[in-house]
Amino acid sequence: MPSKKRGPESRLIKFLRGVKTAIGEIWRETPGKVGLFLLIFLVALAVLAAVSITPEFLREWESTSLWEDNPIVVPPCWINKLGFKTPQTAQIYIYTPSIVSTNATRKQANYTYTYTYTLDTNTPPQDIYIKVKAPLLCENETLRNPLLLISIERPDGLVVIPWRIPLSIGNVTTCGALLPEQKTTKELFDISGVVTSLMTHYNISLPLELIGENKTYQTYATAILRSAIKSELENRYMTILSLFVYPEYASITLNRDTSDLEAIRKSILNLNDTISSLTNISETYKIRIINSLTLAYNNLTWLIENINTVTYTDYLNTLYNVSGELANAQKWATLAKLPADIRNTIGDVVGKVQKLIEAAIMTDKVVKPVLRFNTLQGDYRINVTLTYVIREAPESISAVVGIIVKGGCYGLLGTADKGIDLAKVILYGTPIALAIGLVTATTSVFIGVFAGIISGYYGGFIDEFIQRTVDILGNIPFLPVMIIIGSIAQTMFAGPMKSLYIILLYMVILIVFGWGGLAITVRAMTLSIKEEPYIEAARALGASNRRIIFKHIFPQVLMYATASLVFSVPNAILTEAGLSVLGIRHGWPTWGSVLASARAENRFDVWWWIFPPGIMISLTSLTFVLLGLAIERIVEPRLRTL
Amino acid sequence: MPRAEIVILRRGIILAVSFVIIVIVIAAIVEGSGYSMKIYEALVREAVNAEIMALRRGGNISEIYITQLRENLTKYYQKVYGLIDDQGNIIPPYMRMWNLAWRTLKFDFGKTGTYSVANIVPTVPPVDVLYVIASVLPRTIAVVTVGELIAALLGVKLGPRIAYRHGSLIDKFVVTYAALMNAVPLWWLAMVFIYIFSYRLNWFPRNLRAVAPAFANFWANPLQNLISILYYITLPLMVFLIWVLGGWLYGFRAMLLRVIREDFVMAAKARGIPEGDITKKYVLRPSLAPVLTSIILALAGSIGGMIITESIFDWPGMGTLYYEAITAPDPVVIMALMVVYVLVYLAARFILEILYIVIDPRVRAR
Repeated sequence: MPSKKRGPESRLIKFLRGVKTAIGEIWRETPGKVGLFLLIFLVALAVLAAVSITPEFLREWESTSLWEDNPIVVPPCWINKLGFKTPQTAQIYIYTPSIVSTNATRKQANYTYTYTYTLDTNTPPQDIYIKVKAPLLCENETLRNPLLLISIERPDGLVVIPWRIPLSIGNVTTCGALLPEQKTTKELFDISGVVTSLMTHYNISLPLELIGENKTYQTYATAILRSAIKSELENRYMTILSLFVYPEYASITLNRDTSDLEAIRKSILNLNDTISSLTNISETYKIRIINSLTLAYNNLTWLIENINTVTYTDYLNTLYNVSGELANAQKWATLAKLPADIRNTIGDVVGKVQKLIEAAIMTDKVVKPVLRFNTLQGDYRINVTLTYVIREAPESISAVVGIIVKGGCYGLLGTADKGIDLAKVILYGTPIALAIGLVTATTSVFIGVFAGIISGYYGGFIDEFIQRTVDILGNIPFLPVMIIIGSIAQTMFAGPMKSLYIILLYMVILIVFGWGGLAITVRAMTLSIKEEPYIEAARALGASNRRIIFKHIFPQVLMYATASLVFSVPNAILTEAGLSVLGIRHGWPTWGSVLASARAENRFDVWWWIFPPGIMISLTSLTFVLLGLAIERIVEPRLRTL
Repeated sequence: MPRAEIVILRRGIILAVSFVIIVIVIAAIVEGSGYSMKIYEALVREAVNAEIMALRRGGNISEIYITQLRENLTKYYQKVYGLIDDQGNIIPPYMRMWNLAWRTLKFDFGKTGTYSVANIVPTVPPVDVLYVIASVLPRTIAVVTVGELIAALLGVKLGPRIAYRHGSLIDKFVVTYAALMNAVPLWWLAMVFIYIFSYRLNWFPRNLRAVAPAFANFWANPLQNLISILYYITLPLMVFLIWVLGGWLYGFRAMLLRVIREDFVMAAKARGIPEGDITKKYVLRPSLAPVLTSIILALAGSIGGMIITESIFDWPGMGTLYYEAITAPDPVVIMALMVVYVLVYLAARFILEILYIVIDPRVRAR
């Protein structure tokens, strides 16, 4: 008999030794080895995640604000090493200015923060913005808020100043306190300034042989070209991305379509005929009107015949002449008191000509801009300058400048919609998955073992009751019931603990349905163990039922139960993921939730969104399947004695 | 020893009692929890509001009249949806639960009024629930049941060969493959296949819902419809077959491994009987009962479809029907589907009880 002093300690050592031998046995075969490796990997991930996870992340991992600085639905950055080309992502926070220049006499202090972004792809990044938190400075009781000025030195040598924003004081009144964060937006972007810079730098000028000598008309054409460039940048490059492009080709052509002109000419001809046939008007007026109409007609004819060679100046001059002659005709027609319908017709024609002129001046109807933009590759020096109007400026200020360039790739596993960092979510999914799986499996195996032993050992009514319960549970379709209960749970719980309660409910249902199979096997094992002579001997020695169960039956069932436990760990993980994918969400960052969002957005075409979470689920399952196989091999000889 | 008929009768009674209990349990989940009451209350509100809105648009009506009308309409719709009885008293959830259980046991499933559910057929509500299930069932059978059957037959055919080569390379490959398929969720494998074959390679359609007409009007033009069905079905059937085959191969291998170590197989081998004959006469025969059990139970289970995977593919089968019924939500359809699942499963178990007696001489002798 072992002495009582060594009791608990020796039991612990014995248990540990048992565990050690068991692991050694598992290690001996390949599946066990792979399983143990995977288990260590998963546990390491889970520990890493569990240490760094915060309750806020659990609650807000799907909110847009948490991920606003990330590019949206982009692949991981390591694909660049495989030969793909995506623009880089930069999320740079700068705390110290690279240049400080203070000038007491000019009452000015500039703090410049610099970052160089390299663009080496044909596509521009998704977005760029700068976030600034600058302090409020004071001088002689006056509050000084800075002017934020961003200038970008492009690889082509052009320096553009897209943003010039005075930082608002808000309700800050303390000197040295940080002002509310200012973000550069599309609305504040100086697109006109950028267009001007581009046009000067790239010498975008008009082909004079097409425009002609008239300076006014040249201004018109320039304005048309300018607004075409602007709207191209606004629409195709979402305003802000114009920082990354240059006009590869920008010029104009003239629209040589004559259909409108011919329509007007035909109306004039008709008018001419109508007026010529009038008899009851004064000849003088008639001749004058006809003269004007003829001149207008001749001008138009000249324009139509020479349309392929005329310049913009010729076009406009001719139309002005036509318009002038028609106006004359209209004047004489009024004096001659021509019938109202004829006068209206002349008025219509005048209106049409004026519309043509207007269109030629204001729109790209005649002057057709031809534009081709291209991405400008190279180094972009981004200078963020905070300018204070202050005489005695401090050497340094406590400003934070964030430069965010949303590129075409992100991190280790890329991003999903809302810019969700998949690596982070998948990392944090590990401890949740393991916890759900292990707790559910342990509890249901525990219940199964004891229900089985009790059922087999005591027999009778208890046995019948347990077996019938198992039978009925086994006939209820599990997944459909689970889905109903899951969707009931979504409306049943509320409040900050909702997600936890839903997951706990899943686990309870899984346990309720999970113990039956094991209970049947354990019952069968118990029935045969019960008949062994040593049990009879123990009973004859006066051992209590409890002692027999715990000392003689339970240890024999234990190893088999362990295998069953390990095998059933993936059940809960797969069920949780499956329910999430169906759209029955609990709100926690699990692997299933990531797949669910891919499904909800219908983005099965995005491999980095659907592959990693599925691989993690499969890997976790595989870990336990392999370990289960290994343990089963150890158990098998004993199983065969049954 | 009781006679075979008595055994069958006894099992039949136990299964029938199980059926009643399960129906009550499911009714308790659907109705007893207040789940469907909430749904119906929302439906009543919606219907009443819609009618009053329509009336208001028609012209100026006094508010007093509308208040009165709202009360009457609410009563009317509450009665339609079975929320109140003839006297206007609210029926409590537990009473509704018994009502639902009783109606279900009479196989009175009623009609569904949900558009998204009827859309799977496709038709417009209201439509008989049984009609919906009957039109949707062949599509699930075509994928899941056929897939399960093909995999099971392959398992029967290949299982013994793998079992004979226990420990060989092919055996190791099968075990690895089975372990992998056991670990990978079918619905994720479906996503992967959709990504590869529908998005990357563009071989198969992305919208499988469109297969419905080919099933519905199959006999109008069998050949053309068959080709159309094959075009849609290939991807889901392929995924399902690949996934389910691992389990069948592993299962039969394990089952047969136990048998081929028996003395009589050894003896047959020692007598120099060819492998094929050993398989037929000495190995498959004694394992017929477990083999049949697993095949029949799998086929019965396949009727329910693969809820998650079908909804990923948007394959208009039983699984998608259940999914739409849950998202709608439509308790009538949910209940009917549950009953179909349970009934088919229990029926399969009953058939098995009879088969055991037919195929097993030891049981027959009792």
